[in-house]
Amino acid sequence: MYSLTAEFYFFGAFFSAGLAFSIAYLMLASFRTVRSQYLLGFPIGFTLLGFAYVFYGLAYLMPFLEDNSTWFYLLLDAYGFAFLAFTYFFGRASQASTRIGPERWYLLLTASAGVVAVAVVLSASLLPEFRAVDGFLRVANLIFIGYMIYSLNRALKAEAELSTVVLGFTFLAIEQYSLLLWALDRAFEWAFLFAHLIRMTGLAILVAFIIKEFRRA
Amino acid sequence: MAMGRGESKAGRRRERSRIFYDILQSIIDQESGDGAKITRVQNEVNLPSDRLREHLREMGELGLVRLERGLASTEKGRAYVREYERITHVLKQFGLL
Repeated sequence: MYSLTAEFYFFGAFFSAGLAFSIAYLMLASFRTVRSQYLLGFPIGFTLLGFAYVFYGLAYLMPFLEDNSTWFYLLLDAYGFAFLAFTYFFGRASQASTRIGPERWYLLLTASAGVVAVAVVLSASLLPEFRAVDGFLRVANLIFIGYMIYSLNRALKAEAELSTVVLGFTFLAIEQYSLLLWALDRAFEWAFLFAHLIRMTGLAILVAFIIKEFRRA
Repeated sequence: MAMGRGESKAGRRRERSRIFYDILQSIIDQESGDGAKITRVQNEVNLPSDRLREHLREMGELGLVRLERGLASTEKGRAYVREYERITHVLKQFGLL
């Protein structure tokens, strides 16, 4: 039972990382063409998510790194969603006739790198209890994704059909909710397993959608 | 499809890439008639003359437009317009534009 689920989590993490990096790469191509500074947050956010899943997979590959890897995963996951949410926030701000300079992104990146560095330098014993931070950051991630879906729905209000992008982000929100259940009570192992499945599905939906739209447009 | 060209009048600042797109789109539209004219492009993209000429010079250096023997788009310029519309279509689906 353990080895089978461990292998699933390990391969699932690297598969998710591949999907997140693919989205980052495709969205970076968009940034290169349109050159709106705020759009940088999208590839950065998905790159951070990709690295978060890599660290998660490493925890299964190298159990002696598990403490640091899971902390990296937790922090990078939250920073990833924060960057995605900030992209929507800055996007709305740019519509209010203000130019979004890259310095805001650099500031966020520096803060991210600083916190991650602290997690590495300090021993795990000096950090707050993992499960408490886990639960807190899951709630934060749900707020970030909720804001993204809200912004997306506002932008797509003229569209009658359910947006595939909204569907993809909703899957990521369900993932975070399942992980919140897992953080609150470790007895919810099904929630942990479900979170991995739903995350892969959500990311796969987004990748398939971007590729399809790039080809169609 | 990208936003309408008149949107700049609403007070929203346009990125350089967007201005290039607007200029090229205006030139391509006019090419289907009696040829592109700088004054008509200027009116359509809502830019002062000196800024338009500066952008056209830069676009000429990038190979997006041809300035000799009248104003005209190049194959690279038309490819840029298609690429820009493709990208903005996807970004709109993500609610980012």
